[in-house]
Amino acid sequence: MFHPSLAFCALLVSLGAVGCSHVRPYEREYMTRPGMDSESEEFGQEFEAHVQNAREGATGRGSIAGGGCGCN
Amino acid sequence: MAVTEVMQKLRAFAVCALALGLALCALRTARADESSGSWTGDVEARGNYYLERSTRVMMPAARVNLESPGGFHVRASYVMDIISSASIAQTGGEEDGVFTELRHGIGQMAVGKTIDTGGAELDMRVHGTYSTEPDYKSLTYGMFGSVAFNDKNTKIGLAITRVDDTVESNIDPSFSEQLAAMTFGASFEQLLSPVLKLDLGYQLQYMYGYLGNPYRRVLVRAQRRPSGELAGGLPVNEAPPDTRWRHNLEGQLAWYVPQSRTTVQLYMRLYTDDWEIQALTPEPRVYQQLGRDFVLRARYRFYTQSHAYFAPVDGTRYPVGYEGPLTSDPKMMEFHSHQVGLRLTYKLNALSGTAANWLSNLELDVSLDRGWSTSSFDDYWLGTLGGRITF
Repeated sequence: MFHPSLAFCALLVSLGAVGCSHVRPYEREYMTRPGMDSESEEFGQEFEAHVQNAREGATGRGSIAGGGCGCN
Repeated sequence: MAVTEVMQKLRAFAVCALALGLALCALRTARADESSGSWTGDVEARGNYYLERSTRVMMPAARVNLESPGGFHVRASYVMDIISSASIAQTGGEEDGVFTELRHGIGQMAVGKTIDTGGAELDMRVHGTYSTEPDYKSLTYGMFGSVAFNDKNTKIGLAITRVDDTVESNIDPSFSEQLAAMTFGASFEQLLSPVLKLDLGYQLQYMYGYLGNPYRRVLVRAQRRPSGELAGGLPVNEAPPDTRWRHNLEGQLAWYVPQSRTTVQLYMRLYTDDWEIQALTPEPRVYQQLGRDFVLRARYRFYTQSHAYFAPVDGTRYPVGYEGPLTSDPKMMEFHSHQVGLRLTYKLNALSGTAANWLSNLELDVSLDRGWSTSSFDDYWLGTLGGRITF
């Protein structure tokens, strides 16, 4: 399902994407629309990531520390 | 007081003092810049609620973000966790009882500075978080740096985080174990067109120390019946391996459709670790602007994982002769879940130009998610109510 070499593939995709486009500053109006600016939802997602990290073997999004949720 | 506890308190104090010092430096610089600019930032408050068969979690939370005209930024947050759970182990009785636990004192402090050189932008931050509950203390601290270049079309970030936890037990005052972790993260953000953005992230985590749960019991030396089923067994404490390597790769593509004022988000996460758990998490989302003031978000999340190599076949028992790591943790078993959710956001644009103009940047949101899980944690509800004002 997943292998660390996928991270290397993602790196190659990233490098390829850098040279593919150039969006000028005055063309970025849509980047602030809901869903395009992921930072505005960061705090709201922390709680969900917190309870999911306590109930799922995987980890990822979120930065709240501690055991919590009766899960340590 | 044990020496390790004293050392931990000193370490927590040192991190908090460092964060506070940097925050004060940032505020001082910011005030000096007030004559030539203005502060920006946001304040956010949220009430979160989680409900499953045997556990209920309520978590009020608040966060402040401030950025000075000089590029200094300060973030502080506070979270309280009120957990009510049915548990035999934590109540110490023979039958299930309800216990309530309070986790608080989580103050996430982050300070940093953004340096804009025209075509590129450098951002550096340090952060620290301390949380405490009766049987768990956690200290997290680290650094994050990013550089935006290619006329800010491309952003690369690197992060390193250290976690120092102390695990205790409410029913055994002599129990105290340490858990530590180091996480290295890399992120990549690329604008692909005026309406298309790609985000990629990778995290590598190494955990070591006590990775179990002092309340969780496992049945060992179970007898195998002629039918092949395991029965009986002797209860012992959970004992998973004491190290764990974790890899997490995630990507997100966001596409805005101006004609319908819709954003389509496709998120995917791939996970693996040396306990042989592999997980896949696709999550599509749709954001729809409704009129001037409302945004509706609909999403679906699917999660599936394989079991850890040492997970018992029936979830609770190990046969006679087994001598490997022990667990009865539901999240070490194979399972999958589906989650659907709706969120409605309302921005108070109507107050623009009135006496309450300062409230016109306030956004209120309410969300409700329903999850169906094949794990023994069972199905769940997730609800949030939040408000965020930018200035």
